[in-house]
Amino acid sequence: MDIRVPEVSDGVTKGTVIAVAVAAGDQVEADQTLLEMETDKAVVAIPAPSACTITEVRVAEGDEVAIGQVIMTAAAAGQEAKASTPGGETAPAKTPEPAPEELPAEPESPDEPESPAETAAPAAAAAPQADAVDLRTNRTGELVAPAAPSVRRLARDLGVDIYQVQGTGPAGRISEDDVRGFVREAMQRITGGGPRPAATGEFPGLHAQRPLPDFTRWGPVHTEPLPSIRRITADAMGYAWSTIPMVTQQDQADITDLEAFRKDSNRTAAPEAKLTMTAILLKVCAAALQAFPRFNSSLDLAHQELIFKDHVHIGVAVDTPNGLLVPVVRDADRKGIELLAGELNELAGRARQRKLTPAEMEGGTFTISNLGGIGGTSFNPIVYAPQVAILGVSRARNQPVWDGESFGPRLVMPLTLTYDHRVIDGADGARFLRWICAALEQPLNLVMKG
Amino acid sequence: MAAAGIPEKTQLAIIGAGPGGYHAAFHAADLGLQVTLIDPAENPGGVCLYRGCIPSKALLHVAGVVGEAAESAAIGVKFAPPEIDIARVRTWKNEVIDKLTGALGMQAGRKKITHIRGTATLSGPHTLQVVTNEGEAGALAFEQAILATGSRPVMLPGTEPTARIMNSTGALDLEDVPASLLVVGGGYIGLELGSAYAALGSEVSVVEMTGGLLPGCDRDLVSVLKRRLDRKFKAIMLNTKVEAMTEKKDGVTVTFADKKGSRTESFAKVLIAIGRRPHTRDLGLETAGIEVDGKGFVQVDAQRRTSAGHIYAIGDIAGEPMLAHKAYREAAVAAESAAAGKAVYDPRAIPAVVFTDPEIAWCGLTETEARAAGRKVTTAKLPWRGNGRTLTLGRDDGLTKLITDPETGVLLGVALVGPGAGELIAEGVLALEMAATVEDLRHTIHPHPTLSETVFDAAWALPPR
Repeated sequence: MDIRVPEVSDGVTKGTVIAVAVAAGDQVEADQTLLEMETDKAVVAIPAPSACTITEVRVAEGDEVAIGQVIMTAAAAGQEAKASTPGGETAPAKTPEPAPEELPAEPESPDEPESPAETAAPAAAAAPQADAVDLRTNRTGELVAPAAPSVRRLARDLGVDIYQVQGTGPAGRISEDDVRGFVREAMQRITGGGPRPAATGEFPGLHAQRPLPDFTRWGPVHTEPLPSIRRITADAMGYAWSTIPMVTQQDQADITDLEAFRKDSNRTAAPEAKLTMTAILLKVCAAALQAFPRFNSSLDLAHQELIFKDHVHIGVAVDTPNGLLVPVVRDADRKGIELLAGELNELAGRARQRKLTPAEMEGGTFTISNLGGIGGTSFNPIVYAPQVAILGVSRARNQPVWDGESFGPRLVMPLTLTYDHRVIDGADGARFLRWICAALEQPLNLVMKG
Repeated sequence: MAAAGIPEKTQLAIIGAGPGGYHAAFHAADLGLQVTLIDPAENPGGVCLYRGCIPSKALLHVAGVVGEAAESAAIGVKFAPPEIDIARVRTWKNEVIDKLTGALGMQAGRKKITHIRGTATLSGPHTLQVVTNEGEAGALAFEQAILATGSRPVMLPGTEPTARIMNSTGALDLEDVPASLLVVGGGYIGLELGSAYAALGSEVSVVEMTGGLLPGCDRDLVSVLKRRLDRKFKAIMLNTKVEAMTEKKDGVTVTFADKKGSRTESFAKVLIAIGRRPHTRDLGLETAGIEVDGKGFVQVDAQRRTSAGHIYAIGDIAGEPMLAHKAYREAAVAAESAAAGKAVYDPRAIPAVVFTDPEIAWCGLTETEARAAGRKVTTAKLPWRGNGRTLTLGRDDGLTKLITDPETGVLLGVALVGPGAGELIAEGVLALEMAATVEDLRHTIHPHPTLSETVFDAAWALPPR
């Protein structure tokens, strides 16, 4: 039986093998980890679909593998496996199903743009001609992709690596339509989706890179490959920056009383239940998003619609040794601050260990980026498309504040709100941020208004 | 027709006008490149047309006619033993060659290809040193080049072709029909030429160093051929080495060695057919930085570019299999690449045909390869004796074999032995290139009554999936 890469998350089509845990000849239990694969932002473990003996390992560390690709072959435990054997009573060799519970494949629209590397940019650098073909995947004999010569030629002309195209014909045969579909899908991913990318007005080559100078002319250099986190962040930020007209609104909240309460509360709390300012902000933002639903929407230019989300999932930017990750706290509007704090601590902890699943980073409707722990007086965050707003939090400082009679020391926290000006007007932006500040200054407001 | 003199420069220089060279020249000219083709022969054709495929097939046709006439007694048509006018056979063979090469020459002219009769060696990355047949020498600057210099027959160490010890070129000259002929080498060249000489009247013996004829070919196919060759040839000596050859006035004395010991036998003539070697020496490859492997093949990438990116190598010098139709495909790829196209050489199948009687033809994965790789395949083997067309041809020998993937039913290889197998294999090649499944073959209507029905029946003989 063939063991294939299961669906790990909606929209994820490939990954890089970072560790192979078994060798040919190994007997494995059902759900035992066979290998680990780095996909968009997460490392996922590929489990054995059933108890079996591995007969061949077809991938090595560093290999790029596609969803559905055969990574190993195996014989079912105690018998010569034949995948198509009709069900007997003894455990029949199953075709691998993506069943591990830690990898729910949620049918949500992915809010994370895919890696642009998936469009298989030809390695033009080494080739002598401008119009050269990528020869790295060239094969002969039966290893050639199951496609007619005319289809293979079409793929080459379009710059498609035919070995990445999933054929829909009998025995996986690749048709002309499959190649065209692959291109269409890749283009939609680059242009941010939508059935008619042209209607979004995005111009082609948005992510094209101009030729770089030869830096070695000025001194020695060295390179390192972009890890997938960096590629995805670069793509998402580049897309947002170049397509969204953004405005950043600044305000500040007097959190003297709130901070006193927080410190007091933490004095008796267990370490894992520590109340953080971010957890409080989660609750405040969730209430604000309900009060201002436009901030919880997405713009669909292709259909000329605004999509309001009747759920509040808030992403929290987490600084990890491997780069920026944004786990999403689900249904923040329906949870109390204690629960939110616990969940956030747990998610952040796993994010630092790279144990988040792709699904746990999908579906956010708003994002909070808190750099207060590091310092700074203010920064302008970038909206995480297709969301329309993001809150930036900087370090709170004691400042003299005029209370109408005298100056007194107050703890003041700078907040910045960046929003998509196509969806949100300046006055609404100011009102939304003021609402948040007011709630922080007088938490009763949450109950009164929220 | 011939352009007098050596031009100063050309966009694309092609050295060698065999199937690879002339096809590349025509294709590149069609794509708008200005082409100079260099070869010593009067017209394009190369080994294939002058000293290989075509003359050997002409002689094999003669062999076929003789053989069929002899076997016709069994179906009630009796002919007197044939009188063979060897001079006329030779002339006819040469007429075939002239007709084909002449047509190619005309085509080169029509496509405005500069055709230099002469030889060329590289003298730098962008220059060729050209010497015409008339002795005129000069330098030719080129932007890109395609090397298609082909291959030459290998002789036994220490031997040179003589009147009595021939290579394939000498055998095809058909100087006479020797009373006895020893063919050294049980590969396709030896068996084809041995068959032709046997039909013309020679007593033919074959000596092969390994344990079987046609090394690399599946044994079940070879055994069908061998049954017939055993009747046509005087002897087929396997696991036997030629230890010594002494040329005498009236023949050649050959010493054989096998596990039983040594013995000596005399033959009127000997044909050495132990293989071919790529013609890459003395081409000045090093002046352009072109790398050659240990066997003398030029190293090429998927577009047939050599280590000098603007110089291509195709055909026999670019690696096995040394077959004209492989060179054709490479020629198209190289010509298109030279014209900034995106072609790559990525065949799913390259057919191989042995034009003996019966013919053997195969493409794709062989059973031998599958076994060596420890790969599971499902095969169907259909003997031809149940096929109507085979019997109406007065034959009963033949076998069609399909090699398929047990999981997907995708066809991995097709192999045939039987009269006309070389024509039938084209269907297999197309099926493999299209990644056809057994199901596809089953639902393709094959004409009745033909030999091609054996492919159809073999598809139905496979277990249903």
